[in-house]
Amino acid sequence: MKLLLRLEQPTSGRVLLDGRDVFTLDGTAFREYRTKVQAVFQDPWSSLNPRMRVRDTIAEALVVNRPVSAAQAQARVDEVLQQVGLAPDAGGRYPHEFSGGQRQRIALASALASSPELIVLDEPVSALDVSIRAQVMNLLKDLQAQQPLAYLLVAHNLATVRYIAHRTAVMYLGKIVEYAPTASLFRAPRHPYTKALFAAALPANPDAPREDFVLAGEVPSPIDPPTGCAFHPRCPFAMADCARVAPVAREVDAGHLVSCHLY
Amino acid sequence: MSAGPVLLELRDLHAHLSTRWGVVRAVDGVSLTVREGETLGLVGESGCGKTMTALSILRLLPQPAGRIVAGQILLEGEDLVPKSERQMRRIRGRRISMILQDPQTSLNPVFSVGNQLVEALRVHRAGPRRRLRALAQEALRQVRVAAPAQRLRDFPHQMSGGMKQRVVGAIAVSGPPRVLIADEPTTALDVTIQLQYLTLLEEIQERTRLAMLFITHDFGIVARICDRVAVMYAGRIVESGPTRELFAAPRHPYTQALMAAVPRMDESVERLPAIDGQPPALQRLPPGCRFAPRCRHADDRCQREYPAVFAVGREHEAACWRAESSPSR
Ligand SMILES: Nc1ncnc2c1ncn2[C@@H]1O[C@H](COP(=O)(O)OP(=O)(O)OP(=O)(O)O)[C@@H](O)[C@H]1O
Ligand code: SF4
Ligand SMILES: [Mg+2]
Repeated sequence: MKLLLRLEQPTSGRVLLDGRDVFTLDGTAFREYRTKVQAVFQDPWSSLNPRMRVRDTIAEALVVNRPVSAAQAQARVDEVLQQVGLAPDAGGRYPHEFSGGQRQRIALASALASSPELIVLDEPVSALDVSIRAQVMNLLKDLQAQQPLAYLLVAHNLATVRYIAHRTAVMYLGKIVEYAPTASLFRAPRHPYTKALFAAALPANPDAPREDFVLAGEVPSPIDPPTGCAFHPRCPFAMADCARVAPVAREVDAGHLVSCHLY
Repeated sequence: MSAGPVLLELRDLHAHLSTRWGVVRAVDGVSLTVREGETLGLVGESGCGKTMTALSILRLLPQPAGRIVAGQILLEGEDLVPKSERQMRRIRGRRISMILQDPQTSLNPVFSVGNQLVEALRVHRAGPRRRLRALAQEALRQVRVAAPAQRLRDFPHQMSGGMKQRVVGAIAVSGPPRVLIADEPTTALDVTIQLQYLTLLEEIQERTRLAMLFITHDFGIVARICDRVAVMYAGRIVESGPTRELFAAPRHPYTQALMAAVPRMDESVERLPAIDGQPPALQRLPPGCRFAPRCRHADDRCQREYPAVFAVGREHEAACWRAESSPSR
């Protein structure tokens, strides 16, 4: 995710946006990229300035990346505030005068201001309360319905993923182990790690079957991952090959890829 | 699990915090009971007063702002409110313990884990250091820490979050206490580690039959480990009842709306019914029902008068005017 936002350099491989390598962009092309890709983080404070009025924070996000007049910027601010469901007078207030859910809306409004193509959502609702969480998740869906907009959602809550994502990639120690249309993944998770995640998730239902597939051991350090399949030391199905050979992705169902020697 | 006698009871507890913005009525008339061998879940939105309720019970409200202004806290029938700090020190850790969200705040970084466990044990057990050391090792084994003898020498920063939370658990249950208060103990943990930890708490409870007050806002955790649930809103309990019944037939409009707003991992929904607005500030509470500004059933009386608590089932109560007319069994 940090790679995508160009906060860090890759050690190998490439990041493409609309087919262009993001790390070779410079000057105008890079500024263009910055308007096309925006981010919203778990903690809305990371994109808000406590001493600036909301209106100015959003306008700044816009002006930094694009040559626009003050009047144009103000008009756009009103527009995005309305899109995220905040009253027009919200622009004149400071971030601390809002609730957590409202602050997350403001962060979303500043991300939207430059009409991005992609918004990286890093745990956007995990710090919010249940009642506010639903408001923000619905807003995310509505915004996507109104305009051409792609989300890269980073989340650990499976219910959130199921509600928002069209496709889902499951990562373990920096590698994608399973990648599928969300419906297919939830219907039949294949990778043992994905299965463990599903078993460990606690559905909000006291009568849910208890699949006690409790993983032993701790998560190893990503700096020095295990050989072969990185999951093999914790995998209940590990075979001799798993410790030696890294599995490659195989398609097990339409668009459903799994990297595991069992498939 | 079959529940025994009531070990902890709160009767109309009120705790206030004086702040620059006014008096925060963080706990505003809370009554609840927890029995031996039973887990009561306390759920509610951020800022509704869950942690302050827990801290009131231990008499550890933030000082000098916090004060218990009315009510009783009965631990095995004995009221803790009039107790002196010295008396409380003999009760905390021994008869009643607490596990906090962040293990970091409960462990001292400059002492080894063994050292801290021995100190915790020394509070309620006399004996030579060697014997306490053996007991500490046993305590770690009970929270399923592998190679406990070696772990005793570790410092907190050498351990993972899950391991640290186990150590906190070992200290908390070393009494062993009659009542354990767990305030979101797994929020900081990885999901696969969370389940290990919850299973461990269940095991300990089975063995010691302690009464557990489990604070969370995760309905998945509630469904998994709580026998009964109390739902808190703006400083008060608005509904309480057996877990299964509360999930199947919530009676308070807030509980109903909250349950409907939880995304499900076992079914696909197009749109979640969200609750508009947000809870009231605790220093400016409306006179009537605190949920009225967000409630779609609110009428004139709701705006004027705080609803009484009505029985809506066996051990199932709701503080809502709409529950008044319901058949009470
Ligand atoms: N040290 C403090 N001084 C003054 N007010 C406080 C203090 N700590 C908390 N409060 C206020 O007391 C009220 C209750 O807070 P409490 O921590 O009990 O909420 P909570 O239900 O535990 O929320 P969360 O789910 O976020 O942990 C809140 O309105 C909060 O702002
Ligand atoms: S008392 Fe009235 S406002 Fe409060 S929850 Fe019940 S119906 Fe709604
Ligand atoms: Mg709390």
